[in-house]
Amino acid sequence: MNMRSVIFAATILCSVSASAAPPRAAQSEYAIRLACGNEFFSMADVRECLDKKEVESETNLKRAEANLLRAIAKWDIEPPYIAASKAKLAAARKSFAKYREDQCAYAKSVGGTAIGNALEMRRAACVAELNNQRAEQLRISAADSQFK
Amino acid sequence: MKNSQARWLVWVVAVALSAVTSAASSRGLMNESEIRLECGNEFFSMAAVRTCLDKKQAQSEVVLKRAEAQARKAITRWDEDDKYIDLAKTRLAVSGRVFAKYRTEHCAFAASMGGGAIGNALEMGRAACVAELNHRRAEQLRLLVSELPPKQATK
Repeated sequence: MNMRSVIFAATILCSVSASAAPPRAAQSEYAIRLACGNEFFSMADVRECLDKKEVESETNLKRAEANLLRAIAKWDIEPPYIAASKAKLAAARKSFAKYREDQCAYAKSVGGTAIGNALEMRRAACVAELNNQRAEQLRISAADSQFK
Repeated sequence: MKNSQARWLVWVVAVALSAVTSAASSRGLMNESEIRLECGNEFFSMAAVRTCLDKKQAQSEVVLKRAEAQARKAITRWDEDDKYIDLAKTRLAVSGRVFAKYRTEHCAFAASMGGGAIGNALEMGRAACVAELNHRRAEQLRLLVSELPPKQATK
Protein backbone atom coordinates (compact mmCIF):
# COMPACT_ATOMS: atom_id res chain seq x y z
CA MET A 1 0.00 0.00 0.00
CA ASN A 2 1.68 3.22 -1.02
CA MET A 3 1.07 6.69 0.27
CA ARG A 4 -0.89 7.84 -2.77
CA SER A 5 -3.43 5.06 -2.54
CA VAL A 6 -3.93 5.76 1.16
CA ILE A 7 -4.61 9.42 0.43
CA PHE A 8 -6.90 8.47 -2.41
CA ALA A 9 -8.88 6.09 -0.21
CA ALA A 10 -9.06 8.70 2.53
CA THR A 11 -10.38 11.33 0.11
CA ILE A 12 -13.04 8.97 -1.19
CA LEU A 13 -14.10 7.98 2.31
CA CYS A 14 -14.33 11.58 3.45
CA SER A 15 -16.26 12.71 0.41
CA VAL A 16 -18.66 9.78 0.77
CA SER A 17 -19.36 10.58 4.40
CA ALA A 18 -19.63 14.30 3.66
CA SER A 19 -22.02 13.83 0.76
CA ALA A 20 -24.08 11.32 2.74
CA ALA A 21 -24.47 13.70 5.66
CA PRO A 22 -26.52 16.66 4.34
CA PRO A 23 -29.61 14.87 3.02
CA ARG A 24 -29.84 12.66 6.12
CA ALA A 25 -29.53 15.28 8.80
CA ALA A 26 -31.61 18.21 7.60
CA GLN A 27 -29.88 21.38 8.81
CA SER A 28 -31.20 22.91 11.98
CA GLU A 29 -32.82 26.33 12.05
CA TYR A 30 -29.70 27.69 13.69
CA ALA A 31 -27.36 26.10 11.13
CA ILE A 32 -29.46 27.52 8.29
CA ARG A 33 -29.27 31.02 9.74
CA LEU A 34 -25.54 30.62 10.29
CA ALA A 35 -25.02 29.50 6.69
CA CYS A 36 -26.75 32.61 5.35
CA GLY A 37 -25.03 34.84 7.91
CA ASN A 38 -21.60 33.55 6.97
CA GLU A 39 -22.21 34.00 3.28
CA PHE A 40 -23.64 37.50 3.37
CA PHE A 41 -22.86 40.59 5.33
CA SER A 42 -25.79 42.96 5.01
CA MET A 43 -29.03 42.24 6.84
CA ALA A 44 -30.97 42.56 3.58
CA ASP A 45 -28.82 39.92 1.87
CA VAL A 46 -29.06 37.52 4.81
CA ARG A 47 -32.82 37.97 4.78
CA GLU A 48 -32.97 37.27 1.06
CA CYS A 49 -30.79 34.18 1.51
CA LEU A 50 -33.12 32.84 4.20
CA ASP A 51 -36.23 33.58 2.15
CA LYS A 52 -34.63 31.61 -0.65
CA LYS A 53 -33.91 28.69 1.68
CA GLU A 54 -37.56 28.70 2.76
CA VAL A 55 -38.77 28.63 -0.85
CA GLU A 56 -36.30 25.89 -1.76
CA SER A 57 -37.46 23.80 1.18
CA GLU A 58 -41.05 24.14 0.01
CA THR A 59 -40.12 22.88 -3.42
CA ASN A 60 -38.15 20.07 -1.82
CA LEU A 61 -41.12 19.02 0.30
CA LYS A 62 -43.63 19.25 -2.57
CA ARG A 63 -41.39 17.07 -4.73
CA ALA A 64 -40.99 14.48 -1.96
CA GLU A 65 -44.77 14.40 -1.45
CA ALA A 66 -45.43 13.98 -5.15
CA ASN A 67 -42.89 11.16 -5.42
CA LEU A 68 -44.35 9.38 -2.43
CA LEU A 69 -47.89 9.69 -3.80
CA ARG A 70 -46.69 8.23 -7.08
CA ALA A 71 -45.03 5.33 -5.25
CA ILE A 72 -48.18 4.64 -3.22
CA ALA A 73 -50.36 4.74 -6.34
CA LYS A 74 -48.19 2.04 -7.94
CA TRP A 75 -48.10 -0.08 -4.77
CA ASP A 76 -48.79 -3.75 -5.42
CA ILE A 77 -51.42 -4.18 -2.73
CA GLU A 78 -55.22 -4.23 -2.41
CA PRO A 79 -56.78 -0.86 -3.32
CA PRO A 80 -58.27 -0.19 0.17
CA TYR A 81 -54.75 -0.08 1.63
CA ILE A 82 -53.69 2.40 -1.01
CA ALA A 83 -56.72 4.58 -0.32
CA ALA A 84 -56.14 4.41 3.44
CA SER A 85 -52.48 5.40 3.11
CA LYS A 86 -53.31 8.29 0.82
CA ALA A 87 -55.97 9.58 3.21
CA LYS A 88 -53.56 9.33 6.14
CA LEU A 89 -50.84 11.11 4.21
CA ALA A 90 -53.26 13.94 3.39
CA ALA A 91 -54.28 14.25 7.06
CA ALA A 92 -50.63 14.30 8.18
CA ARG A 93 -49.86 16.93 5.57
CA LYS A 94 -52.51 19.22 7.01
CA SER A 95 -51.47 18.77 10.61
CA PHE A 96 -47.83 19.27 9.62
CA ALA A 97 -48.69 22.67 8.10
CA LYS A 98 -50.37 23.68 11.35
CA TYR A 99 -47.50 22.35 13.47
CA ARG A 100 -44.95 24.17 11.32
CA GLU A 101 -46.84 27.42 11.73
CA ASP A 102 -47.07 27.12 15.52
CA GLN A 103 -43.56 25.77 16.06
CA CYS A 104 -42.04 28.52 13.92
CA ALA A 105 -44.12 31.17 15.71
CA TYR A 106 -42.47 29.83 18.86
CA ALA A 107 -39.00 29.91 17.22
CA LYS A 108 -39.69 33.53 16.31
CA SER A 109 -40.81 34.41 19.82
CA VAL A 110 -37.52 33.30 21.39
CA GLY A 111 -35.96 36.16 19.39
CA GLY A 112 -37.58 38.44 21.98
CA THR A 113 -37.11 42.17 21.35
CA ALA A 114 -34.96 41.71 18.25
CA ILE A 115 -36.07 43.89 15.36
CA GLY A 116 -38.74 42.51 13.05
CA ASN A 117 -36.36 41.50 10.28
CA ALA A 118 -34.35 39.26 12.61
CA LEU A 119 -37.52 37.62 13.92
CA GLU A 120 -38.74 36.98 10.41
CA MET A 121 -35.40 35.37 9.59
CA ARG A 122 -35.79 32.99 12.51
CA ARG A 123 -39.20 32.01 11.24
CA ALA A 124 -37.95 31.41 7.69
CA ALA A 125 -35.05 29.26 8.91
CA CYS A 126 -37.42 27.26 11.13
CA VAL A 127 -39.81 26.62 8.23
CA ALA A 128 -36.91 25.52 6.04
CA GLU A 129 -35.66 23.10 8.70
CA LEU A 130 -39.06 21.48 9.26
CA ASN A 131 -39.85 21.25 5.53
CA ASN A 132 -36.50 19.64 4.73
CA GLN A 133 -36.84 17.23 7.61
CA ARG A 134 -40.30 16.11 6.53
CA ALA A 135 -39.17 15.86 2.90
CA GLU A 136 -36.43 13.51 4.05
CA GLN A 137 -38.87 11.36 6.01
CA LEU A 138 -41.20 11.10 3.01
CA ARG A 139 -38.29 10.26 0.72
CA ILE A 140 -37.32 7.39 3.00
CA SER A 141 -40.92 6.12 2.94
CA ALA A 142 -41.01 6.31 -0.87
CA ALA A 143 -37.71 4.45 -1.13
CA ASP A 144 -39.12 1.49 0.81
CA SER A 145 -38.39 -1.85 -0.82
CA GLN A 146 -42.10 -2.67 -1.11
CA PHE A 147 -42.43 -0.06 -3.86
CA LYS A 148 -39.63 -1.56 -5.93
CA MET B 1 9.10 5.59 7.33
CA LYS B 2 6.55 5.39 4.56
CA ASN B 3 4.74 2.70 6.43
CA SER B 4 4.50 4.71 9.60
CA GLN B 5 3.25 7.72 7.65
CA ALA B 6 0.56 5.57 6.08
CA ARG B 7 -0.44 4.24 9.47
CA TRP B 8 -0.64 7.77 10.82
CA LEU B 9 -2.86 8.83 7.93
CA VAL B 10 -5.18 5.90 8.44
CA TRP B 11 -5.45 6.87 12.08
CA VAL B 12 -6.28 10.50 11.23
CA VAL B 13 -8.94 9.38 8.77
CA ALA B 14 -10.45 7.02 11.33
CA VAL B 15 -10.65 9.79 13.91
CA ALA B 16 -12.13 12.22 11.39
CA LEU B 17 -14.75 9.71 10.30
CA SER B 18 -15.75 8.82 13.81
CA ALA B 19 -16.08 12.55 14.55
CA VAL B 20 -18.39 12.91 11.55
CA THR B 21 -20.58 9.99 12.55
CA SER B 22 -20.74 10.93 16.21
CA ALA B 23 -21.67 14.49 15.25
CA ALA B 24 -24.60 13.10 13.30
CA SER B 25 -25.70 10.76 16.06
CA SER B 26 -25.33 13.40 18.75
CA ARG B 27 -28.14 15.26 17.03
CA GLY B 28 -30.12 12.10 17.79
CA LEU B 29 -31.20 11.83 14.23
CA MET B 30 -31.96 8.17 13.83
CA ASN B 31 -34.82 7.76 11.45
CA GLU B 32 -37.75 5.45 11.91
CA SER B 33 -36.30 2.59 9.83
CA GLU B 34 -32.93 2.84 11.60
CA ILE B 35 -34.66 2.61 14.95
CA ARG B 36 -36.57 -0.47 13.79
CA LEU B 37 -33.37 -1.97 12.42
CA GLU B 38 -31.55 -1.42 15.67
CA CYS B 39 -34.19 -3.36 17.59
CA GLY B 40 -34.40 -5.97 14.83
CA ASN B 41 -30.65 -6.58 14.89
CA GLU B 42 -30.53 -6.92 18.62
CA PHE B 43 -33.45 -9.29 19.06
CA PHE B 44 -34.78 -12.18 17.11
CA SER B 45 -38.32 -12.87 18.29
CA MET B 46 -41.16 -10.57 17.25
CA ALA B 47 -42.16 -10.08 20.90
CA ALA B 48 -38.65 -9.01 21.91
CA VAL B 49 -38.41 -6.59 18.97
CA ARG B 50 -41.77 -5.17 19.93
CA THR B 51 -40.66 -4.68 23.55
CA CYS B 52 -37.45 -3.01 22.34
CA LEU B 53 -39.40 -0.56 20.17
CA ASP B 54 -41.91 0.20 22.91
CA LYS B 55 -38.94 0.97 25.14
CA LYS B 56 -37.46 3.28 22.52
CA GLN B 57 -40.76 5.11 22.27
CA ALA B 58 -40.98 5.49 26.05
CA GLN B 59 -37.37 6.72 26.22
CA SER B 60 -38.03 9.27 23.47
CA GLU B 61 -40.99 10.58 25.44
CA VAL B 62 -38.77 11.11 28.47
CA VAL B 63 -36.18 12.89 26.31
CA LEU B 64 -38.83 15.17 24.84
CA LYS B 65 -40.42 15.98 28.19
CA ARG B 66 -37.02 16.84 29.60
CA ALA B 67 -36.23 19.10 26.61
CA GLU B 68 -39.58 20.85 27.04
CA ALA B 69 -38.99 21.39 30.74
CA GLN B 70 -35.51 22.74 30.06
CA ALA B 71 -36.85 25.09 27.39
CA ARG B 72 -39.45 26.42 29.83
CA LYS B 73 -36.76 26.90 32.44
CA ALA B 74 -34.45 28.74 30.01
CA ILE B 75 -37.32 31.01 28.94
CA THR B 76 -38.21 31.78 32.57
CA ARG B 77 -34.61 32.77 33.28
CA TRP B 78 -34.28 34.70 30.04
CA ASP B 79 -33.05 38.27 30.39
CA GLU B 80 -36.00 39.76 28.56
CA ASP B 81 -39.23 41.69 29.24
CA ASP B 82 -41.96 39.67 30.90
CA LYS B 83 -44.30 40.06 27.98
CA TYR B 84 -41.84 38.31 25.67
CA ILE B 85 -41.22 35.60 28.23
CA ASP B 86 -44.96 35.00 28.53
CA LEU B 87 -45.41 35.00 24.77
CA ALA B 88 -42.63 32.45 24.25
CA LYS B 89 -44.04 30.21 26.99
CA THR B 90 -47.53 30.32 25.51
CA ARG B 91 -46.26 29.54 22.04
CA LEU B 92 -44.15 26.68 23.31
CA ALA B 93 -47.22 25.15 24.96
CA VAL B 94 -49.32 25.58 21.81
CA SER B 95 -46.60 24.07 19.66
CA GLY B 96 -46.39 21.07 22.01
CA ARG B 97 -50.11 20.37 21.66
CA VAL B 98 -50.11 20.75 17.90
CA PHE B 99 -47.02 18.55 17.66
CA ALA B 100 -48.86 15.72 19.44
CA LYS B 101 -51.59 15.84 16.80
CA TYR B 102 -49.10 15.92 13.95
CA ARG B 103 -47.18 13.02 15.46
CA THR B 104 -50.35 10.93 15.78
CA GLU B 105 -51.33 11.55 12.17
CA HIS B 106 -47.90 11.22 10.61
CA CYS B 107 -47.24 7.98 12.49
CA ALA B 108 -50.65 6.62 11.52
CA PHE B 109 -49.52 7.19 7.96
CA ALA B 110 -46.12 5.60 8.64
CA ALA B 111 -47.84 2.54 10.13
CA SER B 112 -50.16 2.33 7.12
CA MET B 113 -47.07 1.80 4.96
CA GLY B 114 -47.04 -1.69 6.45
CA GLY B 115 -50.12 -2.42 4.33
CA GLY B 116 -51.60 -5.81 5.14
CA ALA B 117 -48.89 -6.73 7.69
CA ILE B 118 -50.13 -8.14 10.98
CA GLY B 119 -51.08 -5.70 13.71
CA ASN B 120 -47.90 -6.19 15.72
CA ALA B 121 -45.72 -5.13 12.79
CA LEU B 122 -47.86 -2.07 12.13
CA GLU B 123 -47.67 -1.11 15.78
CA MET B 124 -43.88 -1.43 15.68
CA GLY B 125 -43.72 0.91 12.70
CA ARG B 126 -45.79 3.39 14.65
CA ALA B 127 -43.61 3.17 17.77
CA ALA B 128 -40.41 3.74 15.76
CA CYS B 129 -42.03 6.71 14.04
CA VAL B 130 -43.09 8.28 17.34
CA ALA B 131 -39.57 7.81 18.71
CA GLU B 132 -38.03 9.51 15.67
CA LEU B 133 -40.33 12.53 15.79
CA ASN B 134 -39.92 12.94 19.56
CA HIS B 135 -36.13 12.94 19.30
CA ARG B 136 -36.15 15.44 16.47
CA ARG B 137 -38.41 17.81 18.33
CA ALA B 138 -36.39 17.46 21.54
CA GLU B 139 -33.27 18.43 19.61
CA GLN B 140 -34.98 21.43 18.04
CA LEU B 141 -36.23 22.65 21.39
CA ARG B 142 -32.75 22.32 22.88
CA LEU B 143 -31.15 24.32 20.08
CA LEU B 144 -33.76 27.07 20.14
CA VAL B 145 -33.08 28.06 23.73
CA SER B 146 -29.32 27.47 23.59
CA GLU B 147 -28.66 31.12 22.76
CA LEU B 148 -30.98 32.72 25.30
CA PRO B 149 -29.01 34.98 27.67
CA PRO B 150 -30.02 34.39 31.32
CA LYS B 151 -30.83 37.21 33.72
CA GLN B 152 -27.89 38.43 35.78
CA ALA B 153 -27.80 37.03 39.31
CA THR B 154 -27.86 40.57 40.78
CA LYS B 155 -31.17 41.39 39.14
